[in-house]
Amino acid sequence: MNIDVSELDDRIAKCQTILDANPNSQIFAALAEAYRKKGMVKKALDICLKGLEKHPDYGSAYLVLARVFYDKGDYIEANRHLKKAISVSGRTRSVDLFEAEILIKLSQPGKARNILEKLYKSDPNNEVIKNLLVSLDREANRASAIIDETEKSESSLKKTYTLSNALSVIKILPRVLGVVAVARDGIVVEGHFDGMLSHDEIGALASAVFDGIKQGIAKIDYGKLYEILVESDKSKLWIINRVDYIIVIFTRDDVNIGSLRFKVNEILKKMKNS
Amino acid sequence: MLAVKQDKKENKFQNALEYLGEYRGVKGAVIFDIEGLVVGYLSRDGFDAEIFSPLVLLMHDNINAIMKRLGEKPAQSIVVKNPDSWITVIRIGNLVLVVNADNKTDELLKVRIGQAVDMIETHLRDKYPLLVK
Repeated sequence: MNIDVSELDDRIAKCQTILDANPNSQIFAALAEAYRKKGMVKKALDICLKGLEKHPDYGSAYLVLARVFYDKGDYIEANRHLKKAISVSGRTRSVDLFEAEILIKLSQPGKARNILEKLYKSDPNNEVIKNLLVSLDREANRASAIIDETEKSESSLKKTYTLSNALSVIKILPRVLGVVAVARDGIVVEGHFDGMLSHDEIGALASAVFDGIKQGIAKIDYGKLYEILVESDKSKLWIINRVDYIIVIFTRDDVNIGSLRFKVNEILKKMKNS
Repeated sequence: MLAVKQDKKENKFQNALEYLGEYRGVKGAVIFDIEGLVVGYLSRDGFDAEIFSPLVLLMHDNINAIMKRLGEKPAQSIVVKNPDSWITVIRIGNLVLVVNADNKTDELLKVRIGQAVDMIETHLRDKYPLLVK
């Protein structure tokens, strides 16, 4: 879709004028949408959040917020805000279409297909809907090929994962650089880590960090330590507390931590004795 | 047109903390320097800023040791969760911001924290430029 930048600038100027004249106006949603379309998602997010503080029941603003998060690649948040928009303002065809797009990104092709097929029935000439259905078919074929391959390599694995299987699956998630499970004594139980350090070194370091924080929070009665997430400018380090060991996941900085958390939790839930 | 807040305070650090405190679920926030001296704090539900600062400094040092061994730069932010709440720690120049929120607080708090960090950084650049690169 071609976006006329000068038209967007014009729209931004008009909306801003209205908002300046009346800071309580609901025009903030249109202003945020214009910034989003211009690619200025942070600005759009700021405007939308500020506006929603004054108009917490304005459905259109939640829809804009959902689109902003979608553009940022945070599909979980996009879905959450879309649901809020639907609960406040109800559904439209464009909302349904957007929901399908989010569900595709959230790896929920079945739900997305149901929505798209309904939309297709009432509007069979819509190219966007047709293209999304085609891409879903393509993804389905690719996914079934991957599942076949996984089943072959994990033939002993049925519905539950062993620790080793679970870590292997986590390791191949997008942008994950390494994963290790470390026992309470600091010894690495299992690991897949391609970095310059040995598993044992990572185990000892992660264990030291975890124990240090655990002891620290015990002193201030902060409760049981559940997880630690460290973000640096090139990577993220995520330490999860399990019953018998800690799991240390090392990722690139551009990983979507919400999406990763969702997938890792799903994998860990399927572990034996989890 | 900029809206001018009537009760704008001189203490910009406190402004940033109060801005964080407006977010639903935030139980407390504190800014302290790398010596652990509290510069400003906002307290609710028994949040004790003086107790958090040494713990956080220790945590920060430990984590940066592992980051260094991993060949990474120092941590920009650290999040520690327990079943009831989560603490976010962010280093800003020679200062450290800590925010304690309950576990029902949504992840948009991160956006609010980012805005508070901007406020603190701007103030540091204006008033104490030697403390920030």
